[in-house]
Amino acid sequence: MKILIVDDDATNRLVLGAYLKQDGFEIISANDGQAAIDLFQDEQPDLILMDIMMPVLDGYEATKKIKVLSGERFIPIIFLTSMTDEKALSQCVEVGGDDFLTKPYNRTILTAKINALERVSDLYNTNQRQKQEQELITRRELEAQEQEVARKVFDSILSPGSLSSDNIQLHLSPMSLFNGDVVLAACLVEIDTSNNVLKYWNGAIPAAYLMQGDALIELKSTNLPLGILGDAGFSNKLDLIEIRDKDKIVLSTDGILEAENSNGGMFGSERFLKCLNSELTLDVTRSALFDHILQSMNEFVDGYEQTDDVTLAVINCDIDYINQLATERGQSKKFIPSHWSFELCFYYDALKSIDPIPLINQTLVEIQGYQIQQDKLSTILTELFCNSLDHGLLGLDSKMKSTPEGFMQFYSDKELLLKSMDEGFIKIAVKNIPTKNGGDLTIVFEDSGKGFDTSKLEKPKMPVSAEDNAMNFSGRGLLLIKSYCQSISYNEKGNRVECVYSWSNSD
Amino acid sequence: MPITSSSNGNTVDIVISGRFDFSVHKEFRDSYSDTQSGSATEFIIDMSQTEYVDSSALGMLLLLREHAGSDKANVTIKDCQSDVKDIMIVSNFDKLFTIS
Repeated sequence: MKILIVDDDATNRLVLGAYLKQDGFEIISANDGQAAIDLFQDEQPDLILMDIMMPVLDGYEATKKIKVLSGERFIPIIFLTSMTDEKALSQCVEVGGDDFLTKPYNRTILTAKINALERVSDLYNTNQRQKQEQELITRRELEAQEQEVARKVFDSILSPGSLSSDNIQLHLSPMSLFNGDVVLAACLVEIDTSNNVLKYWNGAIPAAYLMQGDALIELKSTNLPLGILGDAGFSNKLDLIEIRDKDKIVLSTDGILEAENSNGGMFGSERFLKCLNSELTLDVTRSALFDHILQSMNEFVDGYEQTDDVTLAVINCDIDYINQLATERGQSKKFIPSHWSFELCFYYDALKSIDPIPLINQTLVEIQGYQIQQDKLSTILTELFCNSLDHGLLGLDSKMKSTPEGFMQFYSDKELLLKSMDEGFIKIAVKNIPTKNGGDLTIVFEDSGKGFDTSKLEKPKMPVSAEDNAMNFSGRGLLLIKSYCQSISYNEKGNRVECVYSWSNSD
Repeated sequence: MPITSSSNGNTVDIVISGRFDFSVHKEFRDSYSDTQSGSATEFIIDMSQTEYVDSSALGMLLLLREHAGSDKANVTIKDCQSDVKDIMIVSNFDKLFTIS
């Protein structure tokens, strides 16, 4: 154990040093506070005996600084003082002293104090080390988890299938397999053939170009790599460029630009651009460009070991081919008209905030794709829903709507009644029976309202003349339902309506 | 704003975008209520941006027609998308309005 003695009195240093050497401690000494700080940094003592009154820097100040310099380590400091007033002693503790000893020294007490503090110090430092080790383990576990997640993302992005199209040429080197980076430089491109636009988002891919005729357009990176910014900082803003048939998109990772040869030289963007430029002027096929770049790089590297991933993609914007591909993909998932049914029930509080129609539409898309004509069905569902809510639950009378003022009144009443509604429900059941080219969809709306006298239900009639219609502001909803559905029927009470809508494959 | 209107002499242009249903009935009424009622005013309703209409929208159009002089009204509904036009035709609105 190494002990630093700090005292401006040479005699004191000698006496104290002699005692402690006898006890087997290693002794270093300083004659003022500043010297103590310097020595502390050079010699890393395990314990310090500190006088208070000293020239240059006194014991209080030296202690404060040394405690800061110790950081996480515990280096005990014992004040040596001839002062006995309580204020001076408490100041010793305030500045960070761990104990004090009054002169003249009692050797037994001194040794006992040093030993006690040594034990505390050992305990503290062991504890501290274990804490650091634990933190290291936790950090490693976290990193392992992050890498696992990143690897999954990486694998999913590179899943084959989407890359096998004839207009895409791709080189993925062995290092392109996940190399442990948890941030991902990425460039996403979308070729929109209906508007002849290239949409792209570039996050730190250094070499991304559009080759258009004899022009070389850089798809500049304006974003950070993925995995750095949180959701709030992330920008999904796309950059747009007009494209023409047979344009080429070249994407490359920094591994190509930074490919090294045995002399430590890098392939560099100049050589890369030279490859692109030489192909611009020539009327060459797309495969020539792809091979040209890889060949140039391989010649440059000349067999030197590869250190980063080398990924190169050349995409040919062959509009006809892409359109054909899109059509094939669209047909890949075939929805077959099938047997199914579902039922939803919305209570009064839900009805205040939820519009069930988009939910039902979405469900139908999940089940049958876009085979069911959504626009007509939306109309049917909306009108049925409005009838159940307005007349069934809220008890509004559609006759109100027969005057312009009443029409407006109807809707403001509806808003008020909806707000104060505190009971009731609407149950919606949808069932499909497949037919040869589609299906018969049975739609049932049932509400908890009083119903109505169905015998008084006027046979909905088409307005045959302008006069007929002009004075009649209501009943059009039912008319729409009637014209789109195969059948519509009410139960006797008038709180349940059942419609059958036949649909056929849109294509 | 889903509904905007502008008047130019005796012509009032109303543009309806998005969903045309009861939630916009106040806005729709405000778009023409300041105009002089009767057939002196011509109304042109641009529905090229209208994605959806329901039965209450049809009622609102009829109210506008009444404001504009009923059978003498001069109301044109133009550029409907096909789904919307379908509903207009099913409801026989082509007999009440000029649909172009």
